[in-house]
Amino acid sequence: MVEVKGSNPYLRGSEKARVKLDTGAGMSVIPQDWVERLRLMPLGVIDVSGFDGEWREVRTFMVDLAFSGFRFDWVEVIASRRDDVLIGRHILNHLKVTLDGKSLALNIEDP
Amino acid sequence: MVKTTIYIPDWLWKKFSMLVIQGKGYRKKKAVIEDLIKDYVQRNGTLPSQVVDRFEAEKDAFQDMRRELLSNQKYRGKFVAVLNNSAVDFDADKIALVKRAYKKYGYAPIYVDKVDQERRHAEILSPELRRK
Repeated sequence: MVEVKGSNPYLRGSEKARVKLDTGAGMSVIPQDWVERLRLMPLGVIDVSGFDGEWREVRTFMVDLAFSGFRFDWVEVIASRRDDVLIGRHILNHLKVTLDGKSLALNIEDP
Repeated sequence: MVKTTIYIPDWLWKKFSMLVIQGKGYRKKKAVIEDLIKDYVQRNGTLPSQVVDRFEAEKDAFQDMRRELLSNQKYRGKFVAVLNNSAVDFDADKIALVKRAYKKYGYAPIYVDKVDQERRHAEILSPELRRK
């Protein structure tokens, strides 16, 4: 299990959660609770669609995210009712992720 | 627990009932309504209301000035920071703009958007299974 640490880039304080790498997500998603706990300010809005193709407007926030030895500062994310953090393609595109499904192994590196 | 009564149009209730029966089964309307209320509270209640109000006002201000900004070569294609109903700064680099805006105006609900014809969009496509 990989854990991600999220923090407010402007204020102090951090939160931890399980991380899921999601190549189907264009953007990363943090738990809704973090918005209050990290006192995040909304920064913008974006139209988001899910697997059902329905679009809705959601607010975006800036956070610092760190997982598996990698750190990404000032990352724009959205929040939703979930306990884990989805790491989307806007972060994964900076890394080399190798999935060995047969061995149930996943390797992440920054080449 | 509280009990409340609301009045909604017949057609809306019928359509809602049909959709709930099709999607969730019989006798599930109350659960669906409770989920909708929870979702609304979670999405809106985690931010203080004064932050939400100010943010929404700045967002509306950006929409009002969008056409004007688009017609100005200086802003087109760049990110603009809106505070107190006016564009206070702009930059091609969003992060640089946000950092500068927070440094100058404090950690306030500043609205930042790209001066572009199209709205921003993202797909979060992966469905998830939740086992109970």
